[in-house]
Amino acid sequence: MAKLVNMRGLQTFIADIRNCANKEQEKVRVDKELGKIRKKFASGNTVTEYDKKKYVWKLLYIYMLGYEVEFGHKQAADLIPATKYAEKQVGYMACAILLNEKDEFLRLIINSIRNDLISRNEAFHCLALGFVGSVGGQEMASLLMLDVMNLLTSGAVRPIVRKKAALCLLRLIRKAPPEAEVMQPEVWAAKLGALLDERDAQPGVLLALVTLLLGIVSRSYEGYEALAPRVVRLLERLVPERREGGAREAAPAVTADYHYYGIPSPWLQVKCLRVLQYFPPPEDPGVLRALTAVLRRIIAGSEPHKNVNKNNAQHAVVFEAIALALALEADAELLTASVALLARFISVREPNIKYLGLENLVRLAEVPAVADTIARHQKSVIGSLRDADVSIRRRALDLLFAMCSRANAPDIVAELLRYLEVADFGMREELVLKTAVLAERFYPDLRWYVDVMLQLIERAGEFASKDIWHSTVQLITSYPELHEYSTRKALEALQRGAVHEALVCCAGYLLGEYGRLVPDVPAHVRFALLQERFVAVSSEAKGLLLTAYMKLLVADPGDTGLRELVAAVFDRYARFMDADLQQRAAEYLALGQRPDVAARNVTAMPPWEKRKSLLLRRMAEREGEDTDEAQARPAWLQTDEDGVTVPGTPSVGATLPTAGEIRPAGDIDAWFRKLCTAPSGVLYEDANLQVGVKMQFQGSQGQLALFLGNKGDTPLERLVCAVPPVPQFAFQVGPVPKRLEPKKQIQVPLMVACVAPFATPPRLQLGYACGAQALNRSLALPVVAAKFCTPPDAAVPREAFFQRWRALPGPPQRLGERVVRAPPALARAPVEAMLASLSLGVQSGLDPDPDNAVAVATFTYTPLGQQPQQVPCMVRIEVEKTQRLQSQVTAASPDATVTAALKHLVCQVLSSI
Amino acid sequence: MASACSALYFLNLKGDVLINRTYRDDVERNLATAFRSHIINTRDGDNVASLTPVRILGPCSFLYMRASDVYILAVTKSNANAMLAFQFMTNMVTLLKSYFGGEFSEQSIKNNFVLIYELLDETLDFGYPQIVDPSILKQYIFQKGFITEAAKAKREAEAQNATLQVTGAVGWRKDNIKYKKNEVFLDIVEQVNMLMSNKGTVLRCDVNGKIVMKVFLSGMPDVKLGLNDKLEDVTFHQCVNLGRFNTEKVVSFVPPDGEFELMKYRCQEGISRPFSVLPIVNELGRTRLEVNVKLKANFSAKLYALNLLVTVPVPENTAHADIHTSQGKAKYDAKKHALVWKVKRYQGMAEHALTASVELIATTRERKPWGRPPIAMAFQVPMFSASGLRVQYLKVWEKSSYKVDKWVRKVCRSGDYNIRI
Repeated sequence: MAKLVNMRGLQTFIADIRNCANKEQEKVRVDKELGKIRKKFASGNTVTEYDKKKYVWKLLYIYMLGYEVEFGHKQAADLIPATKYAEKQVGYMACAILLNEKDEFLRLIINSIRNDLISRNEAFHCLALGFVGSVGGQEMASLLMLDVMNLLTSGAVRPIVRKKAALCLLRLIRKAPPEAEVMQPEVWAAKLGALLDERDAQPGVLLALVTLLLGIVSRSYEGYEALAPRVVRLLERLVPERREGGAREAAPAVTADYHYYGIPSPWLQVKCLRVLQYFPPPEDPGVLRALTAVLRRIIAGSEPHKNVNKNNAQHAVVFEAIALALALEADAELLTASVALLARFISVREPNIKYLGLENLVRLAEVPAVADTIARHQKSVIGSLRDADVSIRRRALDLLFAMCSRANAPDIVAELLRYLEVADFGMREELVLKTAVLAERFYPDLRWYVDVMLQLIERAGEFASKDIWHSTVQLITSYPELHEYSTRKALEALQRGAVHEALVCCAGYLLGEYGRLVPDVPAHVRFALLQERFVAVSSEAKGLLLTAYMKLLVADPGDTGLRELVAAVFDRYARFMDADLQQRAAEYLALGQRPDVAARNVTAMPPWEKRKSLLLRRMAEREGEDTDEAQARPAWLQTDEDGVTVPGTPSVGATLPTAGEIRPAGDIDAWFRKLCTAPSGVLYEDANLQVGVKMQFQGSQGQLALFLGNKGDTPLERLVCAVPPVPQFAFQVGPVPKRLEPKKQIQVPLMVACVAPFATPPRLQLGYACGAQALNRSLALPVVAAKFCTPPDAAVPREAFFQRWRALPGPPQRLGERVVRAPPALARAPVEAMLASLSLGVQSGLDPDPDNAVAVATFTYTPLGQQPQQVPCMVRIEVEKTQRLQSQVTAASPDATVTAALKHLVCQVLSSI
Repeated sequence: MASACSALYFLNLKGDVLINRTYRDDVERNLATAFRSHIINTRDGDNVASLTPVRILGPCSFLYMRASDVYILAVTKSNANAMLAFQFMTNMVTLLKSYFGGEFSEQSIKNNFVLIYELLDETLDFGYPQIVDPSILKQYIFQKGFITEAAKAKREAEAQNATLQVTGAVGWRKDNIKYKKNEVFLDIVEQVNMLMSNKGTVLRCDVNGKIVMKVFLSGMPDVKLGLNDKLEDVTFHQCVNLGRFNTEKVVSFVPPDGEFELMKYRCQEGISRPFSVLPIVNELGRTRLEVNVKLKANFSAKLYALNLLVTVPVPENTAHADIHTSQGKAKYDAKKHALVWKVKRYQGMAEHALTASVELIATTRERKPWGRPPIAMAFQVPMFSASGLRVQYLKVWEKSSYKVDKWVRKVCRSGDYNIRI
């Protein structure tokens, strides 16, 4: 960097740019500079290394200002193989910023990076690792993973390199395709364990290693179980016993340098705790006891401090510990302690702590063991509902919803009803829905339920969706003992002056149906109460009210005063603009003149058949969405109401119907692997559908027949079987019917031609709907590189083979990969059989070592409108001699894509035989 | 007119408000922010839509133009007459220039806030344009803060007359103007726009001309100007008697005092092009470009063009250019991504050429092919009229029949003079 300070030209340039008053001036200055740099770079070899470095810095600055500097990519890359650190550094930095992982240009510099990785210079290691860690893509992952792994495990490197190697490896793992097994647990569990166990390992290295482990176990923890006790031991050393003077069993893991406000490396603690969440609870009782002890220490030993930073660090650890305790399904004592701690959090004033406390309590509230403990803090949670911060109010609402039980439901619902009057408008919809669900779930008696719902409808105003009053009236209709009570309540609400549409509808329905049960209020009063609100409501509600009037009239045929009033309304609305209202009014008017017909036809509503709670379904839809505060109108408000439902029996833990999930009846990847070597087999299968495939390939052409069979008893609708276009292939798909009858099989022919070498096989889009279930899946077609390969007719002469082999010295034309498999050991015969099944001609006696298998084939593709192109390819498999578990696969061909595809395929198949 | 401007802003190039005046309350106050974020600071410079002079953001239309380093922005909520708004803004710039001694810049606005507020009050009323003529406004809005008693009395008298004058029959000229020497200057300024294909066919060609006069005459003179009838679209100053022009084809007027623009015209036929160009630009592979531009002056050998500037665009990844010219100087200008050829004085009927071999630098990514933008030319040819307009006579008649010195000049300038390659 010292050199950088002395770069006058660069400094002047940056100063000039900063002095520019506006964008135009800046552009002019940049264009001038770019012109100069282009001239210098084009002039050939006369540019000194210093100048080159300076210009690349300038280009980088210009690029960061938002201009294109494509011509400089090569110059930046040229600096990477330089021998001086300063130049290499510039080269790596520029490339890291200018290029992204998709850039084809990266291929040209992979070799230089590899050279740095296998060099002896640690500074170069660091630069290369840093670069790969920030830019590395899938291709880099496959080519450089081995070297990075070597750096990580090599005993000779310094901690800083090891740290970077671990993080770099993490990036490469993330970039590797999700199905690939990149770090074989058999090998790596032991290696990582050894690294974690190192006595004098620096916390920095440990942190990197644990982060790497986190990356690995987040893909799959299988095979790494042995590491969990080690992480626990590390945690133990990080969180030592409080007792001073007592004999500690292990030395503290971190020196005081790594203490953050007195907490030993909180980052490491958090990572360890999180890694453990991925593992199942430890089986060894000793380990479990130790882990529980650590968690207890963490949870017990934290209390709020003055210092914000210390608080933050401590809370991060505590929350992870609680999450782990939940994941371990730890004993009630530990969880109770957590609840006590969190309860302390929600009673403090600091909003962040309060928020986090509430959020974690929501998670804890789902554990039945601590429900009572949480219920004890109901008061302070209710207090949080009145907090100044809206996000805290939301969390408090969530928590109240989660902690509600049969015992405290009346209190909580009453509190929520009170709160409804003052709540934010943004929260009301959710609040109303949640209150309704709680009332429905936990009502102690039916009258209470009716009271709550009517109050809710009255107070919520326009925030009460139709579902709420629909479910209320349904319930009332089903329970005759409620009719009179609820009608009175509705009347009272009307007399108090309630005007909201939902209430008017509800009251209109109740008065229409059961108005005769309250004879103390005369019919014309009931009519007047509704009619007052008639003009203000929507036409849908008007229709309902018209029906209610009709019912009033039928129930009380002798009241002539009422008859005149109602007839006047019908008469007016018989000429109304809205067609539905008009028809209704006209019909009722006619019915009103013939009371006998009316009494026969206008009858009471029958009780509703019992169905699943509509509210709960709405709730589930709502939860499914992003629960962000800034969300749009919830989906349940937009969907049209499909009939009304009965709250029926309290449905605690009712299964929420979700869109049907269809699981395949086996391992899709295994089917795919089998099809790579076989000409026919199963491509996909689930409970309803089976897809088989039969293939035949000739040169660059292939004929596939897909057999779609309906296994179930119901027809499959909206059948989709399509191949999305890919530039490397030309497809021709036969017609697919929309519907597949039960127990029927159809055949879909599919022609495929390979137009260019390809890395990944084409995909098949498969979809159908079966009742409520639907499937939409993208499957890999077993059209792999080997299918377009043809073995040679005769044995290949030795010289010709080795001449070809040597002409392809390294990546990307020649690629190698180490494959490790689980026992049993690999014999030679299956390897050869596998190669033959991949249409690769095995050549015996070519390789000096008779144990190695070598195969040769020709890959054929036909570019559109051109002659077929042939790519010779070679594959060699060396099996390690003693255990015969590891093997090195090398593929080579003049085309990088073919090589990569073949190598990938052979490795995949090899690891599964 | 059923439309008006709701607010007028003057902003610098960064989008900071220098001065603004809101005439109607139907718009919000934070419009300058919207203008800055949506119009000035939009990155998509390539997007042609972002360059339009009228943008509609939300309920408001933003009509803006740039003059030197200042943006002038009129905001309206109604369906306003855009041409009127732009004419007003252009006149506003002229007005301010005449007050600031010919200069109009961010700095001159900052130095004259009070004056500008006064002018803004006068020129727009409730968003409707009023008087923007500098000669009239200068009678009652004064630039200098301090004046003597005598001058004050005189100005007050003048200001009282101002209303009378503005509403009178000859609103543009005061009575009793006196000069010792009576002079009339008449300049014909033409701007020639042309677009030519690379084969040499003219795709579009027109001339925008104007006649600018400077009049120092005593009393109430009557001036008659005779022109050959080559004119197509003509716009006159308000002093011209249109009835006589329609019947007799004579431009007859009582001129305002000092400098003014008598008329504007446009001409699309019978135009003599001052220069013809034959460009040959060949791309040789991905890294080389051969340029050969032949230039011929079509005007008489007695005349000459001044400050000729030919801009030959080259691709953005140009590294180096080797240029030869038969006259003048040429170099590669990285800022304009073009070869710039300058000739100070170019003789009529002469032929000259520029040849260059341009070296491009290779790029790693596939570039989109070069757009081949047109060659642009800038020049000035004194005493040449591209439209062929001639002054046949210029007569001055006054009661006292004094002697008048008359001067007539012509100049032809380049407008958009482009040749495709």
